[in-house]
Amino acid sequence: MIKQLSTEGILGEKEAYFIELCLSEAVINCIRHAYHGRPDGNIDISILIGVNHVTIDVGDKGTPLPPNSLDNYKRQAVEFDAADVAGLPETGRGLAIILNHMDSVAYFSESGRNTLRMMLNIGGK
Amino acid sequence: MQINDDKVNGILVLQVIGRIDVSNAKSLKIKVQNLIGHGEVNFLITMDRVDYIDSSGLGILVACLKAANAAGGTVKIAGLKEYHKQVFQTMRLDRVFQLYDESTQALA
Repeated sequence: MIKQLSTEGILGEKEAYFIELCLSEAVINCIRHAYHGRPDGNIDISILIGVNHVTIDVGDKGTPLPPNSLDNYKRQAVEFDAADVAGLPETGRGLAIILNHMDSVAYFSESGRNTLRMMLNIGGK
Repeated sequence: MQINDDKVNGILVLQVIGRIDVSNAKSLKIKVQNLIGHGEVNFLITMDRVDYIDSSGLGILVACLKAANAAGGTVKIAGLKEYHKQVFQTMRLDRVFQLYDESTQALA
């Protein structure tokens, strides 16, 4: 669907890439962390395409993120010694990618339902 | 994902075509590990025909670098699309990998 929006000129190629990337990273995080790899968890996705922005909600009913943790994830993903090749992290970049490439990110958890809301400003072609 | 390999100036060039994502990234690591097992240690991964890369792809590239480095070599990367390069930069992987716009620069 996202590729089709790019083909139709509604999204630019770069916008389509970052939307697909961040949506994918959010879903993978739900599977791995909210549902701990369980195959039976439900993940709800909604995508709202406005004139100037795209808003994506990814919702789950699994384990929530710790409160006030978004900034920590953004920082931790790049806290490594680039000269220490053997010590480079191979995982843990998903949420940091979302936080760096979406124009706004919010996370809320209410009544057992967790939602990651991502918004990207778009400029057409 | 398709991976073509060729040796140029003593460097094993891996041309990756398609997507590097959570579903297939491990195959690149397996390819590199097999080549290291056959004595190759210096790699150039060309990315100009890569359509998509996610955090799993980034992690596998890091794993390839670690494996090559442990064997006494390294991994260079060439031809990243502009927005893929942005992800490398925000994740500070441009400080880890030698990145080149063109393969010829990496092989010089």
